[in-house]
Amino acid sequence: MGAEDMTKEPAKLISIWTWVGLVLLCYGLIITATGIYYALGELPDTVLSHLNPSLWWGAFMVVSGVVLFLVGRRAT
Amino acid sequence: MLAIATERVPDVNEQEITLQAVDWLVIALYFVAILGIGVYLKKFADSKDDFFLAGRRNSSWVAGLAFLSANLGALEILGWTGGTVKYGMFVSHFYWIGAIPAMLFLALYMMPFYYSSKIHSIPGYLLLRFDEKNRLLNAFSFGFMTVLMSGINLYLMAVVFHIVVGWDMHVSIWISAAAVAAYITMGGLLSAILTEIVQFFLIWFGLFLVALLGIIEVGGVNELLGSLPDQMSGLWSTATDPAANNMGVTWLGIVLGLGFVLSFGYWTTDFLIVQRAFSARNLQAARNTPVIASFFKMALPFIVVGGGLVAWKLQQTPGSGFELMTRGDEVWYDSALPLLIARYYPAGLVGLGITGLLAGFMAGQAGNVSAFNTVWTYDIYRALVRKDASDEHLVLVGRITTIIGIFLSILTAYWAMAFESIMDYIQAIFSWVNAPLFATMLLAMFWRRTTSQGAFWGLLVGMLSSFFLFIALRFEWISPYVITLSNHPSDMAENLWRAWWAWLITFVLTIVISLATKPKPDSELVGLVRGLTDVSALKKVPLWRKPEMWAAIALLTCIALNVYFW
Repeated sequence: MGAEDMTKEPAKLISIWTWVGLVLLCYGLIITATGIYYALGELPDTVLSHLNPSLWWGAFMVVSGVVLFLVGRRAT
Repeated sequence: MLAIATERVPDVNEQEITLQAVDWLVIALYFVAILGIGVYLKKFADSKDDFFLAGRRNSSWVAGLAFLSANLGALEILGWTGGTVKYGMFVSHFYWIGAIPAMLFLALYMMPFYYSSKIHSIPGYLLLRFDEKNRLLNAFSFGFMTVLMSGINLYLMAVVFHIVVGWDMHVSIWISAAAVAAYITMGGLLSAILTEIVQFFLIWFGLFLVALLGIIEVGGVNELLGSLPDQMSGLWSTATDPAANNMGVTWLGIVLGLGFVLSFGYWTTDFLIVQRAFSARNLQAARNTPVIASFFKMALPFIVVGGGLVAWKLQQTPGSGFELMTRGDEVWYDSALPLLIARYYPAGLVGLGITGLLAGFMAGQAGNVSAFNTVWTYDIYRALVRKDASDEHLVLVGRITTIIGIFLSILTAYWAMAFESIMDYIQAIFSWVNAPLFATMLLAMFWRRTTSQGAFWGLLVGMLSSFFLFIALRFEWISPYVITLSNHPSDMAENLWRAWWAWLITFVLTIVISLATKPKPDSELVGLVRGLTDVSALKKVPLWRKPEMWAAIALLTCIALNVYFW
């Protein structure tokens, strides 16, 4: 149950981790963009909006997406 | 274990979330991703093993995350977040004692029989172990249960999105059903599993932040736990007296009904779940599948219980501006999580949160449909209609069955829409089928003296007795004390105790009839029963890859969590 298990996929099939990485990367970019928009303009009317969760959660998703994408590329 | 949203939904539209263009973009991207996976996988799903078993090519991580994702429906998340507002920390029982021991038992003790026999389904095991009538009894009851549950899932999804974001219920039902039908028809189980992995990540990324922000707002975990009343704060300290906890159940009901019968019945015999492990590339990976899933299952209370406790705390805090939706005089507890999304998430993140819920609903739907098409094709169609069907023919039947299964789900959803009271009956089917089946499977695998006659009549009478107890309690034909040891049990307590009695009746009756009838010779049970199955290959892996070691770590973690939150 180690990293080896996680990355092995049949050669013909694009690894699922590539798909997941791409999806998270796209979502992360969109969410981060909204976070930047809020940081530069008016904060949204939500509780704890001063923490700008969109910005750091979006950034976290981008990083996670890149990592999973690379894991998937290595496995394919 | 599956959570059931038993609350009646509001009959008024109280839309709480308005979606912006960026939210629609996020939701649209989700549909593009899952349909794209389906289209891509079509060329990999031409043989029957590809379509029904995902080619047995998955690593333990892929199978493990899909294993949990199939369980992680949005009803589970919404239902138990709302349940936490009512029951408090007690809900954690459904994630820890109500799941982990059973998952580990499946991995260590049952998977060798399932996987080594090269079956496509649980009814397929019953055919090899017993005979055709046992397989058909289980196949029909499972198929019936699966389609009905799938329809209820579809209906409740439409209700939630109608109330929370104002979507038309008919549009929700047809679009989500069409998407699931499309990608399962194209890629079969492989498609279901790989989209479940995407959905798994979207659920976590979409909903984890809600609980995190909630805990920040209420001042941290210690502040939150410290503010709970006694009847909501403990796992076991309030379980000695049913009046001491909001669930109205004692430790005996938790251990026997939930921790043993319902949990083991669900995690070890529900084909919807176990099918994911069958897709693993070898026995070692199949055994690791539930073990990996168990760690994520243990972490889920952070979202579910954490979110629910935050909702409870905000509800108690004057001036917080947080109030659960109501229907007449009744609180609609399932609104807790959507209301927290509306409270904390700005545009963009709202789309992600809604996508997380949508992913949960559709993962559950896909799980039901892919399990249904396998059981129908292998255990009903091939057994009764065309025994000599070719590979291509079976795949075609599987694809057609997927579409038929989706249509039956839609019909059930409309049925529930017209007669909402039937939902209670349909949801109860879950314990009618699974609890007795666990007794049958336990004896089948671990007592070679179990006979076909014993298994069949034990299972049939067990299912009927569970149904009878449900009706008898519903119409007050018998005192609830006889069944539950409490005069005023909650619906949940009734469920737990009914499952226990159904299991016991099946277990005892199967043994009695088996002792009076002739068993199969040992030569016909090789690979199917403990003591007659060669597991020597399992001993050749290093310690760090052995499921036994990771299962021990999972079990110790589960015990530690229970002690910490005692």
